[in-house]
Amino acid sequence: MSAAAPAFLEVSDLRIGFPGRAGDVPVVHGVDFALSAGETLALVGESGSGKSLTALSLIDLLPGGARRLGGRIRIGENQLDTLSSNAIRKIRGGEIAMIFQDPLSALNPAFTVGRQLTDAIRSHHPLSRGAAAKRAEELLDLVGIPSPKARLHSFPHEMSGGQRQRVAIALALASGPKLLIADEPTTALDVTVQAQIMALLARLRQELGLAILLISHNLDLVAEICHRVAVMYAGRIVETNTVEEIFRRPQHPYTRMLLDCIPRLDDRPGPLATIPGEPPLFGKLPSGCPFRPRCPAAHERCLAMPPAFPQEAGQAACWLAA
Amino acid sequence: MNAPPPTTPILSLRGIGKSYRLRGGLLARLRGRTPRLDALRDIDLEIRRGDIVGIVGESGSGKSTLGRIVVRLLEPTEGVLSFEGTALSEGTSRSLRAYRRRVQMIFQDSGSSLNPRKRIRRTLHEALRAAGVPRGRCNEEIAQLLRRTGLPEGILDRHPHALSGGQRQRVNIARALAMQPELLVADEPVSALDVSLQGQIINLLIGLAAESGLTLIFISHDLAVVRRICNRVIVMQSGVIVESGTPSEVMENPQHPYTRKLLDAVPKGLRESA
Repeated sequence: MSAAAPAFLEVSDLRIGFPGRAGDVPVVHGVDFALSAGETLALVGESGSGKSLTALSLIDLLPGGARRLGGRIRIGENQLDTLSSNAIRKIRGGEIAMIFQDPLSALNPAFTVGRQLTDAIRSHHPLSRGAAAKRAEELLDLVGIPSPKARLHSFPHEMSGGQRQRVAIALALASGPKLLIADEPTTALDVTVQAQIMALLARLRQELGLAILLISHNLDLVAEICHRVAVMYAGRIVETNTVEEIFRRPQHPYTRMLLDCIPRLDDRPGPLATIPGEPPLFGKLPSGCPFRPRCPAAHERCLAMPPAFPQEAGQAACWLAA
Repeated sequence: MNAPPPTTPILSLRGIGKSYRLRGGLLARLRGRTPRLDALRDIDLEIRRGDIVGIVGESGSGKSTLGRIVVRLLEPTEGVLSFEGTALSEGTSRSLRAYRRRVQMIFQDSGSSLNPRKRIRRTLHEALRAAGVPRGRCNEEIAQLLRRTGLPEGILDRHPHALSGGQRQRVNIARALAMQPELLVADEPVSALDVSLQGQIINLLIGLAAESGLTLIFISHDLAVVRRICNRVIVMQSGVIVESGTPSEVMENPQHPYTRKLLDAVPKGLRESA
Protein backbone atom coordinates (compact mmCIF):
# COMPACT_ATOMS: atom_id res chain seq x y z
CA MET A 1 0.00 0.00 0.00
CA SER A 2 1.31 3.41 -0.92
CA ALA A 3 2.24 5.61 1.99
CA ALA A 4 1.32 8.77 0.05
CA ALA A 5 -2.26 9.96 -0.50
CA PRO A 6 -4.57 7.08 0.40
CA ALA A 7 -6.56 5.67 -2.48
CA PHE A 8 -10.11 6.92 -2.90
CA LEU A 9 -11.40 3.41 -3.50
CA GLU A 10 -10.00 0.35 -1.86
CA VAL A 11 -11.35 -3.13 -2.43
CA SER A 12 -9.93 -6.07 -0.54
CA ASP A 13 -10.76 -9.75 -0.69
CA LEU A 14 -14.09 -9.03 -2.40
CA ARG A 15 -16.09 -12.21 -2.82
CA ILE A 16 -19.44 -12.44 -4.62
CA GLY A 17 -21.70 -15.43 -5.10
CA PHE A 18 -25.04 -16.57 -6.42
CA PRO A 19 -27.34 -18.70 -4.28
CA GLY A 20 -27.33 -22.34 -5.30
CA ARG A 21 -29.02 -25.54 -4.13
CA ALA A 22 -26.09 -26.41 -1.91
CA GLY A 23 -25.35 -22.95 -0.59
CA ASP A 24 -23.78 -19.96 -2.28
CA VAL A 25 -21.81 -20.55 -5.46
CA PRO A 26 -18.88 -18.14 -5.42
CA VAL A 27 -18.20 -16.40 -8.72
CA VAL A 28 -15.81 -13.66 -7.64
CA HIS A 29 -13.10 -15.20 -5.49
CA GLY A 30 -11.27 -12.52 -3.56
CA VAL A 31 -10.49 -9.45 -5.63
CA ASP A 32 -8.16 -6.69 -4.45
CA PHE A 33 -7.52 -3.32 -6.03
CA ALA A 34 -7.24 0.36 -5.23
CA LEU A 35 -7.93 3.48 -7.21
CA SER A 36 -6.89 7.09 -6.54
CA ALA A 37 -8.39 10.39 -7.64
CA GLY A 38 -7.37 11.33 -11.17
CA GLU A 39 -6.48 7.75 -12.00
CA THR A 40 -7.98 5.30 -14.46
CA LEU A 41 -7.95 1.58 -13.77
CA ALA A 42 -9.19 -0.89 -16.34
CA LEU A 43 -10.72 -4.22 -15.36
CA VAL A 44 -10.23 -6.38 -18.43
CA GLY A 45 -11.55 -9.86 -19.10
CA GLU A 46 -14.03 -11.98 -21.03
CA SER A 47 -17.75 -12.29 -20.32
CA GLY A 48 -18.11 -14.29 -17.16
CA SER A 49 -14.80 -13.14 -15.70
CA GLY A 50 -16.66 -11.31 -12.93
CA LYS A 51 -15.55 -7.83 -14.00
CA SER A 52 -19.06 -6.40 -14.21
CA LEU A 53 -20.18 -8.05 -10.95
CA THR A 54 -17.15 -6.56 -9.25
CA ALA A 55 -18.12 -3.11 -10.52
CA LEU A 56 -21.81 -3.49 -9.65
CA SER A 57 -20.98 -4.54 -6.10
CA LEU A 58 -19.30 -1.16 -5.58
CA ILE A 59 -22.65 0.56 -5.95
CA ASP A 60 -24.62 -2.21 -4.29
CA LEU A 61 -26.52 -3.02 -7.46
CA LEU A 62 -25.74 -6.72 -7.78
CA PRO A 63 -28.29 -8.44 -10.03
CA GLY A 64 -30.69 -11.30 -9.38
CA GLY A 65 -29.80 -12.85 -6.06
CA ALA A 66 -26.07 -12.23 -6.29
CA ARG A 67 -24.63 -11.00 -3.03
CA ARG A 68 -21.39 -10.06 -1.42
CA LEU A 69 -20.01 -13.05 0.48
CA GLY A 70 -17.16 -11.17 2.05
CA GLY A 71 -14.41 -8.66 1.70
CA ARG A 72 -14.15 -4.96 2.33
CA ILE A 73 -14.93 -1.95 0.15
CA ARG A 74 -13.80 1.48 1.27
CA ILE A 75 -15.00 4.50 -0.67
CA GLY A 76 -13.52 7.75 0.59
CA GLU A 77 -14.26 7.76 4.32
CA ASN A 78 -16.99 5.15 4.10
CA GLN A 79 -16.64 1.47 4.72
CA LEU A 80 -19.36 0.18 2.39
CA ASP A 81 -19.80 -3.21 4.08
CA THR A 82 -20.83 -1.60 7.37
CA LEU A 83 -23.44 0.76 5.92
CA SER A 84 -27.21 0.37 5.62
CA SER A 85 -28.63 0.24 2.12
CA ASN A 86 -30.11 3.70 2.69
CA ALA A 87 -26.71 5.13 3.45
CA ILE A 88 -25.26 3.34 0.43
CA ARG A 89 -27.88 4.93 -1.78
CA LYS A 90 -26.56 8.35 -0.80
CA ILE A 91 -23.10 7.33 -1.91
CA ARG A 92 -24.31 5.75 -5.10
CA GLY A 93 -25.17 8.52 -7.51
CA GLY A 94 -23.45 10.85 -5.06
CA GLU A 95 -19.81 10.03 -4.80
CA ILE A 96 -19.98 7.16 -7.28
CA ALA A 97 -21.75 7.16 -10.62
CA MET A 98 -21.89 4.57 -13.34
CA ILE A 99 -22.43 4.49 -17.09
CA PHE A 100 -23.38 1.41 -19.07
CA GLN A 101 -22.99 -0.12 -22.49
CA ASP A 102 -26.45 0.87 -23.62
CA PRO A 103 -27.07 4.57 -22.90
CA LEU A 104 -30.74 4.21 -23.82
CA SER A 105 -31.34 2.00 -20.83
CA ALA A 106 -29.95 4.72 -18.56
CA LEU A 107 -32.25 7.40 -19.94
CA ASN A 108 -35.99 7.76 -19.52
CA PRO A 109 -37.60 7.84 -22.98
CA ALA A 110 -40.59 9.84 -21.74
CA PHE A 111 -38.75 12.90 -20.40
CA THR A 112 -36.56 15.49 -22.02
CA VAL A 113 -32.85 15.42 -21.41
CA GLY A 114 -33.15 18.70 -19.51
CA ARG A 115 -35.82 17.35 -17.17
CA GLN A 116 -33.78 14.25 -16.38
CA LEU A 117 -30.66 16.29 -15.73
CA THR A 118 -32.37 18.88 -13.53
CA ASP A 119 -34.08 16.12 -11.53
CA ALA A 120 -30.76 14.42 -10.95
CA ILE A 121 -29.06 17.69 -10.00
CA ARG A 122 -31.83 18.72 -7.59
CA SER A 123 -31.87 15.35 -5.89
CA HIS A 124 -28.27 15.95 -4.83
CA HIS A 125 -28.03 19.74 -4.53
CA PRO A 126 -30.53 22.24 -3.09
CA LEU A 127 -30.94 24.34 -6.22
CA SER A 128 -33.92 26.16 -7.75
CA ARG A 129 -35.32 24.86 -11.04
CA GLY A 130 -33.71 27.73 -12.92
CA ALA A 131 -30.31 27.23 -11.32
CA ALA A 132 -30.50 23.49 -11.95
CA ALA A 133 -31.36 24.11 -15.60
CA LYS A 134 -28.33 26.36 -15.86
CA ARG A 135 -26.19 23.63 -14.33
CA ALA A 136 -27.72 21.05 -16.73
CA GLU A 137 -26.71 23.23 -19.64
CA GLU A 138 -23.17 23.45 -18.28
CA LEU A 139 -23.01 19.68 -17.95
CA LEU A 140 -24.13 19.12 -21.54
CA ASP A 141 -21.51 21.61 -22.63
CA LEU A 142 -18.88 19.81 -20.53
CA VAL A 143 -19.57 16.49 -22.25
CA GLY A 144 -19.31 18.11 -25.66
CA ILE A 145 -22.93 18.33 -26.79
CA PRO A 146 -23.28 21.13 -29.36
CA SER A 147 -25.84 23.90 -28.63
CA PRO A 148 -26.52 22.53 -25.14
CA LYS A 149 -29.30 25.00 -24.34
CA ALA A 150 -31.45 23.80 -27.23
CA ARG A 151 -30.62 20.17 -26.49
CA LEU A 152 -32.19 20.42 -23.03
CA HIS A 153 -35.53 20.12 -24.79
CA SER A 154 -34.61 17.01 -26.78
CA PHE A 155 -35.82 13.52 -26.01
CA PRO A 156 -33.34 10.62 -25.97
CA HIS A 157 -34.78 9.13 -29.18
CA GLU A 158 -33.95 12.33 -31.04
CA MET A 159 -30.25 11.83 -30.45
CA SER A 160 -27.60 9.58 -31.96
CA GLY A 161 -26.02 6.73 -29.98
CA GLY A 162 -22.88 8.76 -29.29
CA GLN A 163 -24.85 11.78 -28.08
CA ARG A 164 -26.97 9.58 -25.82
CA GLN A 165 -23.84 8.19 -24.23
CA ARG A 166 -22.64 11.78 -23.71
CA VAL A 167 -25.97 12.61 -22.05
CA ALA A 168 -25.67 9.49 -19.87
CA ILE A 169 -22.22 10.74 -18.82
CA ALA A 170 -23.63 14.20 -18.08
CA LEU A 171 -26.33 12.56 -15.97
CA ALA A 172 -23.69 10.55 -14.13
CA LEU A 173 -21.76 13.76 -13.43
CA ALA A 174 -24.86 15.58 -12.13
CA SER A 175 -24.16 14.74 -8.52
CA GLY A 176 -20.49 15.68 -8.74
CA PRO A 177 -19.10 12.15 -8.25
CA LYS A 178 -15.49 11.40 -7.42
CA LEU A 179 -15.56 7.94 -8.97
CA LEU A 180 -17.03 7.08 -12.36
CA ILE A 181 -17.55 3.43 -13.27
CA ALA A 182 -17.80 2.87 -17.03
CA ASP A 183 -18.94 -0.62 -18.02
CA GLU A 184 -18.12 -1.24 -21.71
CA PRO A 185 -19.19 2.34 -22.48
CA THR A 186 -18.41 2.17 -26.20
CA THR A 187 -19.20 -1.42 -27.18
CA ALA A 188 -22.46 -0.43 -28.86
CA LEU A 189 -20.94 2.51 -30.73
CA ASP A 190 -19.19 3.03 -34.06
CA VAL A 191 -15.38 3.19 -34.09
CA THR A 192 -15.18 6.92 -34.69
CA VAL A 193 -17.71 7.64 -31.94
CA GLN A 194 -15.91 5.18 -29.68
CA ALA A 195 -12.72 7.21 -30.05
CA GLN A 196 -14.61 10.41 -29.16
CA ILE A 197 -16.17 8.93 -26.02
CA MET A 198 -12.81 7.58 -24.84
CA ALA A 199 -11.25 11.02 -25.41
CA LEU A 200 -14.11 12.58 -23.45
CA LEU A 201 -13.56 10.24 -20.49
CA ALA A 202 -9.84 11.09 -20.52
CA ARG A 203 -10.60 14.81 -20.54
CA LEU A 204 -13.13 14.54 -17.70
CA ARG A 205 -10.65 12.60 -15.60
CA GLN A 206 -8.13 15.37 -16.04
CA GLU A 207 -10.46 18.36 -15.65
CA LEU A 208 -12.51 17.04 -12.75
CA GLY A 209 -9.88 14.83 -11.12
CA LEU A 210 -12.24 11.86 -11.45
CA ALA A 211 -11.19 8.36 -10.58
CA ILE A 212 -12.37 6.11 -13.40
CA LEU A 213 -12.93 2.37 -13.27
CA LEU A 214 -13.19 1.23 -16.87
CA ILE A 215 -14.55 -2.20 -17.69
CA SER A 216 -13.79 -3.71 -21.05
CA HIS A 217 -12.83 -6.82 -22.96
CA ASN A 218 -10.50 -4.99 -25.33
CA LEU A 219 -6.99 -4.14 -24.12
CA ASP A 220 -6.18 -1.98 -27.16
CA LEU A 221 -9.15 0.21 -26.37
CA VAL A 222 -8.44 0.75 -22.67
CA ALA A 223 -4.75 1.31 -23.34
CA GLU A 224 -5.49 4.73 -24.78
CA ILE A 225 -6.79 6.24 -21.56
CA CYS A 226 -5.97 4.07 -18.56
CA HIS A 227 -2.98 4.07 -16.22
CA ARG A 228 -3.25 0.60 -14.75
CA VAL A 229 -4.82 -2.64 -15.89
CA ALA A 230 -6.14 -5.54 -13.83
CA VAL A 231 -6.79 -8.64 -15.92
CA MET A 232 -9.60 -10.84 -14.59
CA TYR A 233 -10.20 -14.49 -15.34
CA ALA A 234 -12.86 -16.72 -13.79
CA GLY A 235 -13.54 -14.40 -10.88
CA ARG A 236 -9.97 -13.53 -9.99
CA ILE A 237 -7.47 -10.85 -10.90
CA VAL A 238 -4.70 -12.85 -12.55
CA GLU A 239 -2.36 -9.99 -13.34
CA THR A 240 -2.13 -6.31 -12.54
CA ASN A 241 0.32 -3.70 -13.74
CA THR A 242 0.75 -0.33 -15.40
CA VAL A 243 -0.64 -0.31 -18.90
CA GLU A 244 2.85 0.12 -20.38
CA GLU A 245 4.15 -2.97 -18.58
CA ILE A 246 1.08 -5.03 -19.46
CA PHE A 247 1.80 -4.36 -23.11
CA ARG A 248 5.57 -4.64 -22.90
CA ARG A 249 5.93 -7.60 -20.56
CA PRO A 250 2.70 -9.49 -20.01
CA GLN A 251 3.35 -12.07 -17.27
CA HIS A 252 0.28 -14.27 -17.39
CA PRO A 253 -0.27 -16.46 -20.48
CA TYR A 254 -3.88 -15.29 -20.50
CA THR A 255 -2.86 -11.62 -20.73
CA ARG A 256 -0.46 -12.47 -23.54
CA MET A 257 -3.15 -14.35 -25.46
CA LEU A 258 -5.69 -11.60 -24.85
CA LEU A 259 -3.25 -9.12 -26.41
CA ASP A 260 -2.48 -11.43 -29.32
CA CYS A 261 -6.07 -12.06 -30.29
CA ILE A 262 -6.93 -8.42 -30.96
CA PRO A 263 -6.58 -8.01 -34.72
CA ARG A 264 -4.45 -5.06 -35.75
CA LEU A 265 -4.35 -2.92 -38.83
CA ASP A 266 -0.75 -3.72 -39.72
CA ASP A 267 -1.21 -7.49 -39.41
CA ARG A 268 -0.42 -9.80 -42.32
CA PRO A 269 -3.47 -11.46 -43.91
CA GLY A 270 -4.39 -14.83 -42.50
CA PRO A 271 -6.35 -16.52 -39.75
CA LEU A 272 -6.76 -14.69 -36.47
CA ALA A 273 -5.10 -15.65 -33.23
CA THR A 274 -7.60 -17.06 -30.75
CA ILE A 275 -7.82 -18.35 -27.23
CA PRO A 276 -9.07 -21.93 -27.60
CA GLY A 277 -12.18 -23.05 -25.73
CA GLU A 278 -14.42 -20.79 -23.71
CA PRO A 279 -14.18 -19.32 -20.21
CA PRO A 280 -15.41 -21.72 -17.50
CA LEU A 281 -19.03 -21.49 -16.39
CA PHE A 282 -19.82 -20.12 -12.97
CA GLY A 283 -19.42 -22.73 -10.31
CA LYS A 284 -17.77 -25.18 -12.72
CA LEU A 285 -14.13 -24.30 -12.32
CA PRO A 286 -11.52 -26.87 -13.27
CA SER A 287 -9.20 -28.01 -10.49
CA GLY A 288 -5.94 -26.13 -10.10
CA CYS A 289 -5.32 -23.08 -12.25
CA PRO A 290 -8.67 -22.05 -13.78
CA PHE A 291 -6.99 -21.13 -17.07
CA ARG A 292 -5.28 -24.55 -17.34
CA PRO A 293 -7.66 -26.12 -19.94
CA ARG A 294 -7.09 -23.26 -22.37
CA CYS A 295 -3.43 -22.59 -21.65
CA PRO A 296 -0.81 -23.73 -24.18
CA ALA A 297 1.88 -23.63 -21.49
CA ALA A 298 -0.03 -25.73 -18.93
CA HIS A 299 2.03 -28.43 -17.19
CA GLU A 300 1.75 -30.68 -14.13
CA ARG A 301 2.23 -27.93 -11.59
CA CYS A 302 -0.85 -26.19 -12.93
CA LEU A 303 -2.98 -28.97 -11.41
CA ALA A 304 -2.47 -27.08 -8.17
CA MET A 305 -3.72 -23.53 -7.68
CA PRO A 306 -1.03 -20.98 -8.57
CA PRO A 307 0.50 -19.45 -5.47
CA ALA A 308 0.10 -15.70 -5.44
CA PHE A 309 -2.81 -13.57 -6.40
CA PRO A 310 -1.41 -10.36 -7.63
CA GLN A 311 -1.76 -7.52 -5.20
CA GLU A 312 1.13 -5.56 -6.56
CA ALA A 313 2.28 -4.50 -9.98
CA GLY A 314 4.21 -7.12 -11.88
CA GLN A 315 2.74 -10.14 -10.13
CA ALA A 316 0.73 -12.75 -11.96
CA ALA A 317 -1.29 -15.70 -10.71
CA CYS A 318 0.69 -18.22 -12.71
CA TRP A 319 3.29 -20.86 -11.85
CA LEU A 320 5.36 -19.79 -14.83
CA ALA A 321 5.49 -16.18 -13.77
CA ALA A 322 6.36 -16.97 -10.15
CA MET B 1 -28.49 -25.74 -65.44
CA ASN B 2 -25.52 -24.85 -67.60
CA ALA B 3 -22.28 -24.15 -65.82
CA PRO B 4 -21.66 -20.43 -66.23
CA PRO B 5 -18.39 -19.38 -67.81
CA PRO B 6 -15.76 -18.91 -65.10
CA THR B 7 -15.52 -15.18 -65.76
CA THR B 8 -19.16 -14.54 -64.85
CA PRO B 9 -19.30 -13.02 -61.37
CA ILE B 10 -21.39 -15.02 -58.90
CA LEU B 11 -23.19 -11.85 -57.94
CA SER B 12 -23.48 -8.58 -59.74
CA LEU B 13 -25.28 -5.44 -58.64
CA ARG B 14 -26.08 -2.72 -61.17
CA GLY B 15 -27.29 0.66 -60.01
CA ILE B 16 -28.91 -0.75 -56.89
CA GLY B 17 -30.78 1.81 -54.83
CA LYS B 18 -33.12 1.66 -51.86
CA SER B 19 -35.20 4.60 -50.78
CA TYR B 20 -37.90 5.00 -48.22
CA ARG B 21 -40.78 7.41 -48.45
CA LEU B 22 -41.02 9.52 -45.34
CA ARG B 23 -44.38 10.69 -44.09
CA GLY B 24 -43.47 14.34 -44.21
CA GLY B 25 -45.61 17.24 -43.07
CA LEU B 26 -49.14 18.05 -44.20
CA LEU B 27 -47.99 20.74 -46.58
CA ALA B 28 -45.53 18.46 -48.32
CA ARG B 29 -48.22 15.83 -48.72
CA LEU B 30 -50.73 18.30 -50.13
CA ARG B 31 -48.19 19.41 -52.66
CA GLY B 32 -47.62 15.77 -53.52
CA ARG B 33 -43.99 16.02 -52.55
CA THR B 34 -43.26 13.49 -49.83
CA PRO B 35 -39.63 13.51 -48.78
CA ARG B 36 -37.53 10.44 -49.55
CA LEU B 37 -34.69 8.92 -47.67
CA ASP B 38 -32.05 7.26 -49.82
CA ALA B 39 -30.63 4.39 -47.81
CA LEU B 40 -28.59 3.20 -50.80
CA ARG B 41 -27.69 4.94 -54.03
CA ASP B 42 -26.09 3.69 -57.26
CA ILE B 43 -24.42 0.58 -55.94
CA ASP B 44 -22.39 -1.17 -58.63
CA LEU B 45 -20.61 -4.24 -57.42
CA GLU B 46 -19.31 -7.50 -58.85
CA ILE B 47 -18.38 -10.40 -56.63
CA ARG B 48 -16.45 -13.35 -58.02
CA ARG B 49 -16.87 -16.90 -56.84
CA GLY B 50 -14.62 -17.60 -53.84
CA ASP B 51 -14.16 -13.92 -53.00
CA ILE B 52 -14.18 -12.80 -49.40
CA VAL B 53 -15.51 -9.27 -49.60
CA GLY B 54 -15.47 -6.99 -46.58
CA ILE B 55 -18.00 -4.16 -46.40
CA VAL B 56 -17.06 -1.54 -43.83
CA GLY B 57 -18.75 1.64 -42.68
CA GLU B 58 -20.53 3.10 -39.69
CA SER B 59 -24.16 2.81 -38.64
CA GLY B 60 -26.27 4.46 -41.29
CA SER B 61 -23.74 3.81 -44.03
CA GLY B 62 -26.11 1.35 -45.71
CA LYS B 63 -23.88 -1.70 -45.29
CA SER B 64 -26.55 -3.80 -43.61
CA THR B 65 -29.22 -2.64 -46.08
CA LEU B 66 -26.93 -3.81 -48.87
CA GLY B 67 -26.50 -7.20 -47.18
CA ARG B 68 -30.25 -7.58 -46.80
CA ILE B 69 -30.81 -6.71 -50.44
CA VAL B 70 -28.28 -9.35 -51.48
CA VAL B 71 -30.20 -12.07 -49.61
CA ARG B 72 -33.49 -10.54 -50.74
CA LEU B 73 -34.77 -9.74 -47.29
CA LEU B 74 -35.31 -6.29 -48.79
CA GLU B 75 -36.33 -5.39 -52.31
CA PRO B 76 -34.23 -2.73 -53.98
CA THR B 77 -36.22 0.23 -55.30
CA GLU B 78 -33.82 0.60 -58.21
CA GLY B 79 -31.32 -1.43 -60.15
CA VAL B 80 -30.72 -5.03 -61.04
CA LEU B 81 -29.21 -7.85 -59.05
CA SER B 82 -27.88 -10.80 -61.05
CA PHE B 83 -26.81 -14.18 -59.74
CA GLU B 84 -24.44 -16.08 -62.00
CA GLY B 85 -25.33 -13.81 -64.88
CA THR B 86 -29.11 -14.17 -64.54
CA ALA B 87 -31.09 -11.18 -63.37
CA LEU B 88 -33.41 -11.87 -60.48
CA SER B 89 -36.77 -10.40 -61.32
CA GLU B 90 -39.12 -9.98 -58.43
CA GLY B 91 -42.04 -11.77 -60.06
CA THR B 92 -40.95 -15.38 -60.26
CA SER B 93 -41.34 -16.86 -56.82
CA ARG B 94 -39.84 -20.20 -57.80
CA SER B 95 -36.53 -18.80 -58.97
CA LEU B 96 -36.49 -16.56 -55.93
CA ARG B 97 -36.93 -19.55 -53.66
CA ALA B 98 -34.07 -21.35 -55.36
CA TYR B 99 -31.95 -18.23 -55.00
CA ARG B 100 -32.69 -17.91 -51.30
CA ARG B 101 -31.43 -21.43 -50.77
CA ARG B 102 -28.11 -20.68 -52.45
CA VAL B 103 -27.64 -17.43 -50.54
CA GLN B 104 -27.67 -17.49 -46.75
CA MET B 105 -27.20 -14.91 -44.04
CA ILE B 106 -25.81 -14.77 -40.50
CA PHE B 107 -26.73 -11.94 -38.15
CA GLN B 108 -25.03 -10.10 -35.33
CA ASP B 109 -27.41 -11.19 -32.60
CA SER B 110 -27.00 -14.94 -32.46
CA GLY B 111 -29.79 -15.29 -29.92
CA SER B 112 -32.62 -13.56 -31.72
CA SER B 113 -32.02 -15.46 -34.96
CA LEU B 114 -32.73 -18.82 -33.30
CA ASN B 115 -36.19 -19.89 -32.16
CA PRO B 116 -35.93 -19.89 -28.34
CA ARG B 117 -38.53 -22.65 -27.99
CA LYS B 118 -36.87 -25.18 -30.23
CA ARG B 119 -33.99 -27.42 -29.28
CA ILE B 120 -30.96 -27.12 -31.54
CA ARG B 121 -31.60 -30.57 -33.02
CA ARG B 122 -35.01 -29.49 -34.25
CA THR B 123 -33.71 -26.19 -35.66
CA LEU B 124 -31.07 -28.02 -37.70
CA HIS B 125 -33.46 -30.78 -38.66
CA GLU B 126 -35.95 -28.29 -40.09
CA ALA B 127 -33.25 -26.54 -42.08
CA LEU B 128 -32.10 -29.84 -43.58
CA ARG B 129 -35.66 -30.84 -44.43
CA ALA B 130 -36.18 -27.45 -46.11
CA ALA B 131 -33.04 -28.11 -48.12
CA GLY B 132 -34.61 -31.37 -49.35
CA VAL B 133 -32.61 -33.83 -47.27
CA PRO B 134 -34.66 -37.02 -46.75
CA ARG B 135 -35.79 -37.64 -43.19
CA GLY B 136 -33.70 -40.78 -42.87
CA ARG B 137 -30.47 -38.97 -43.63
CA CYS B 138 -30.98 -35.99 -41.30
CA ASN B 139 -29.24 -37.41 -38.24
CA GLU B 140 -26.17 -38.22 -40.26
CA GLU B 141 -26.18 -34.75 -41.81
CA ILE B 142 -26.63 -33.10 -38.39
CA ALA B 143 -23.59 -34.93 -37.09
CA GLN B 144 -21.65 -33.69 -40.09
CA LEU B 145 -22.78 -30.08 -39.55
CA LEU B 146 -21.66 -30.26 -35.92
CA ARG B 147 -18.24 -31.54 -36.99
CA ARG B 148 -17.81 -28.83 -39.58
CA THR B 149 -18.74 -26.05 -37.15
CA GLY B 150 -16.86 -27.47 -34.17
CA LEU B 151 -19.88 -28.02 -31.94
CA PRO B 152 -20.15 -30.81 -29.37
CA GLU B 153 -23.02 -33.25 -29.76
CA GLY B 154 -24.28 -32.38 -26.29
CA ILE B 155 -25.77 -29.11 -27.48
CA LEU B 156 -28.36 -30.81 -29.70
CA ASP B 157 -30.82 -31.33 -26.88
CA ARG B 158 -30.43 -27.84 -25.51
CA HIS B 159 -32.36 -24.67 -26.17
CA PRO B 160 -30.56 -21.59 -27.53
CA HIS B 161 -30.50 -19.81 -24.15
CA ALA B 162 -28.47 -22.62 -22.65
CA LEU B 163 -25.63 -22.08 -25.12
CA SER B 164 -22.85 -19.51 -25.01
CA GLY B 165 -22.86 -16.68 -27.55
CA GLY B 166 -20.06 -18.33 -29.49
CA GLN B 167 -21.90 -21.67 -29.62
CA ARG B 168 -25.09 -19.98 -30.77
CA GLN B 169 -23.26 -18.28 -33.61
CA ARG B 170 -21.82 -21.67 -34.62
CA VAL B 171 -25.37 -23.08 -34.68
CA ASN B 172 -26.42 -20.23 -36.97
CA ILE B 173 -23.52 -21.07 -39.27
CA ALA B 174 -24.44 -24.77 -39.18
CA ARG B 175 -28.03 -23.94 -40.08
CA ALA B 176 -26.87 -21.78 -42.99
CA LEU B 177 -24.58 -24.60 -44.19
CA ALA B 178 -27.51 -27.03 -44.12
CA MET B 179 -28.82 -25.25 -47.21
CA GLN B 180 -25.50 -25.84 -48.99
CA PRO B 181 -25.24 -22.17 -49.90
CA GLU B 182 -22.86 -20.74 -52.47
CA LEU B 183 -22.88 -17.24 -51.03
CA LEU B 184 -22.93 -16.39 -47.35
CA VAL B 185 -23.62 -12.88 -46.05
CA ALA B 186 -22.35 -12.39 -42.50
CA ASP B 187 -23.60 -9.13 -40.95
CA GLU B 188 -21.34 -8.24 -38.01
CA PRO B 189 -21.22 -11.91 -36.98
CA VAL B 190 -18.80 -11.39 -34.09
CA SER B 191 -19.53 -7.87 -32.80
CA ALA B 192 -21.45 -9.22 -29.83
CA LEU B 193 -18.71 -11.68 -28.84
CA ASP B 194 -15.62 -11.31 -26.67
CA VAL B 195 -12.41 -10.47 -28.50
CA SER B 196 -11.05 -13.86 -27.46
CA LEU B 197 -13.89 -15.70 -29.20
CA GLN B 198 -14.20 -13.48 -32.29
CA GLY B 199 -11.20 -15.12 -33.93
CA GLN B 200 -12.67 -18.60 -33.49
CA ILE B 201 -15.83 -17.72 -35.41
CA ILE B 202 -14.01 -15.75 -38.10
CA ASN B 203 -11.48 -18.53 -38.63
CA LEU B 204 -14.37 -20.98 -38.88
CA LEU B 205 -15.99 -18.86 -41.59
CA ILE B 206 -12.85 -18.45 -43.69
CA GLY B 207 -12.02 -22.15 -43.21
CA LEU B 208 -15.46 -23.09 -44.53
CA ALA B 209 -15.06 -20.69 -47.43
CA ALA B 210 -11.74 -22.26 -48.38
CA GLU B 211 -13.00 -25.81 -47.89
CA SER B 212 -16.21 -25.58 -49.89
CA GLY B 213 -15.57 -22.70 -52.28
CA LEU B 214 -18.10 -20.54 -50.46
CA THR B 215 -18.23 -16.88 -51.40
CA LEU B 216 -18.37 -14.64 -48.34
CA ILE B 217 -19.66 -11.11 -47.85
CA PHE B 218 -18.39 -9.96 -44.47
CA ILE B 219 -20.10 -6.84 -43.14
CA SER B 220 -18.12 -5.32 -40.31
CA HIS B 221 -17.01 -2.16 -38.61
CA ASP B 222 -13.72 -3.78 -37.63
CA LEU B 223 -11.18 -2.72 -40.24
CA ALA B 224 -8.41 -4.81 -38.73
CA VAL B 225 -10.40 -8.03 -39.12
CA VAL B 226 -11.35 -7.14 -42.68
CA ARG B 227 -7.71 -6.43 -43.41
CA ARG B 228 -6.74 -9.92 -42.34
CA ILE B 229 -9.38 -12.09 -43.93
CA CYS B 230 -10.80 -10.34 -46.99
CA ASN B 231 -9.40 -10.10 -50.50
CA ARG B 232 -11.57 -7.08 -51.28
CA VAL B 233 -12.79 -4.19 -49.22
CA ILE B 234 -15.67 -1.85 -49.87
CA VAL B 235 -16.01 1.30 -47.79
CA MET B 236 -19.49 2.75 -47.51
CA GLN B 237 -20.73 6.10 -46.25
CA SER B 238 -24.30 7.47 -46.32
CA GLY B 239 -25.55 4.84 -48.75
CA VAL B 240 -22.80 5.04 -51.36
CA ILE B 241 -19.54 3.19 -51.97
CA VAL B 242 -16.78 5.73 -51.39
CA GLU B 243 -13.79 3.47 -51.89
CA SER B 244 -12.98 -0.11 -52.84
CA GLY B 245 -9.93 -2.21 -53.58
CA THR B 246 -7.68 -4.82 -52.04
CA PRO B 247 -7.19 -4.51 -48.27
CA SER B 248 -3.61 -3.36 -48.68
CA GLU B 249 -4.57 -0.70 -51.23
CA VAL B 250 -7.40 0.63 -49.13
CA MET B 251 -5.70 0.48 -45.73
CA GLU B 252 -2.17 1.46 -46.66
CA ASN B 253 -3.09 4.14 -49.11
CA PRO B 254 -6.63 5.30 -48.39
CA GLN B 255 -7.88 7.77 -50.99
CA HIS B 256 -11.12 8.91 -49.43
CA PRO B 257 -11.07 11.13 -46.31
CA TYR B 258 -13.80 8.99 -44.74
CA THR B 259 -11.64 5.87 -45.04
CA ARG B 260 -8.81 7.76 -43.35
CA LYS B 261 -11.14 8.85 -40.58
CA LEU B 262 -12.24 5.24 -39.99
CA LEU B 263 -8.64 4.03 -39.93
CA ASP B 264 -7.57 6.74 -37.50
CA ALA B 265 -10.32 5.81 -35.07
CA VAL B 266 -9.19 2.18 -34.66
CA PRO B 267 -7.68 1.78 -31.18
CA LYS B 268 -3.99 1.11 -31.59
CA GLY B 269 -3.03 -0.13 -28.12
CA LEU B 270 0.55 0.32 -26.99
CA ARG B 271 2.59 -1.96 -29.13
CA GLU B 272 6.35 -1.73 -29.48
CA SER B 273 6.09 -1.27 -33.23
CA ALA B 274 3.63 1.60 -32.88
